[in-house]
Amino acid sequence: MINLIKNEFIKIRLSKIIFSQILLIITLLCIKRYGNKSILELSYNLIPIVSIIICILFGGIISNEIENGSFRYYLTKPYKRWKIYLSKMITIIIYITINILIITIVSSILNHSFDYKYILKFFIYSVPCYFIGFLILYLSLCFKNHAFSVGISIFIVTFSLIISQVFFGFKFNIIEYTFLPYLDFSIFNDNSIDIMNKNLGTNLSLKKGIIIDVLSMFILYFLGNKKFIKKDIKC
Amino acid sequence: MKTAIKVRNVNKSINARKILKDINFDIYEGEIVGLVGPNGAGKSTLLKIMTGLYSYDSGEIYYYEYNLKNDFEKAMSIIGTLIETPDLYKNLSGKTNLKLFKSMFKGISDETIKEIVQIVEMEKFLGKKFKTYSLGMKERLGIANALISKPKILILDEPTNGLDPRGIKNILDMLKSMKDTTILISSHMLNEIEALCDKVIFINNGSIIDIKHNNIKSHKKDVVFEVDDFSKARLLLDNYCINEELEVYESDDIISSLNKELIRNNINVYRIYENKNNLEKEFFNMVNNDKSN
Repeated sequence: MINLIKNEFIKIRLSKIIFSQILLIITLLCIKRYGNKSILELSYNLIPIVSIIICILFGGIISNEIENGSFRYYLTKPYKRWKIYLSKMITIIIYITINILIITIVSSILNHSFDYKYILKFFIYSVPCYFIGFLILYLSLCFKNHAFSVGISIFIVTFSLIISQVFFGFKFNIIEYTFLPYLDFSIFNDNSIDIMNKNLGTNLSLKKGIIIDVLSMFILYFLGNKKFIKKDIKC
Repeated sequence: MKTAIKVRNVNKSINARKILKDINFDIYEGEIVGLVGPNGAGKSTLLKIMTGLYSYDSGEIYYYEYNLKNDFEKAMSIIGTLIETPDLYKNLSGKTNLKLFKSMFKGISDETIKEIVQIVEMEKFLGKKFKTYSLGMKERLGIANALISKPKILILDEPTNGLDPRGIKNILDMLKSMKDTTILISSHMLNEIEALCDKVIFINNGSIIDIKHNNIKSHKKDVVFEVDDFSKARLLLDNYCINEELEVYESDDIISSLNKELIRNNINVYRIYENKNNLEKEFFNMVNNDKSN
């Protein structure tokens, strides 16, 4: 399994990973320089950016390999399909975790303080990032063209809250039991969620968000794994 | 002789259309077997099933004692594959590609990679990115990838596709030199199959039409006599003829004695020639029979 995970990182290429992380650090430095709040508070705004980077970097994690034919060789090696799927999932999880650690550590250094409560809170607020990781893996499996999976996932990350609000506006409150309103937990960081709940008649909460996102991750993983195991690799 | 590949009653449907119907065959250890059939016959589907890329509806596939479905990892650890064009990771160098695939097998040393790279003559180009390779180089790296685990069985789908005559010859020579490896090879190039294979499996419309031993590799030869008195000669050679012509499939000694027999009976033999296009003939017979049906 470790070999498979190593292979995934080789395939993504180290230069891309480092570039994305440098980008995050530069953004943090800019926030520190020009932001009007503390760096720790502002760092939560980077979570959606991490989600978008995940979409771009991992959008082709399966579709690219099917599209360019390299899967014909990778899947004919002595590893069961579920192991290969799991290795891709773990790779994404590791990448997200490293990014979160980088943001929290750099933010703490810039703030000249080290507060484990902040790091814990940051990880909780990053649950949607992990969900996006599971979603992108599933979409990459469903679409032959990786541009589709990248495009759809970025659309979902960017507009999920707006789409949810439109549904809430039409009193279609069942949406609050889907992942759509819970792809950016920064809404729970101030009192804006209370205003939203009051105005739209909803009952959105961080706890509910975590439960729904985690459940959705399991469902996506289960469906994706099942599909991947049975998939005929036509390339 | 041990059975290296055993395929039993394999069926495959795609969108309710039967692609493969009750495929059965055995390949023995060390044999080189060709898979021949027109486009759309089901060759690639069969090879993709045999390499785990496609699922199958029913049937069993064994590599030695390993069942492909139940012992997938063990079965795949003794197989090397080259399916159609070798599309490895284009942004990685040849060396990184081989290292990546090497890491998927246990106990393979860097020395083994060196050895294989020497066999396919790719030492000079390993540092370059895969996307910069010519088709011939890609094909050779693809073969190196197939050989990386020193497999007991090689499954090759169109391994010489797009290669120039020199490239084709190199690959065929290399395959011929692999004495202990069982090879299943699919190709449209009937000449290569004829020159290389011990046995040929004919497949059409998803079914195996025939399995024949290759004449060229046999000590017998397929020869045609051209004579002045055909009907008299036909009567004389009746027991030997394999069709309505004066065509026989025998060893050199018997062919020589048949020639003497014809001359002794005052029949002028103008020409005796070897019919080298057996496979091509079989192939067109199969296609034509299919059309007439």
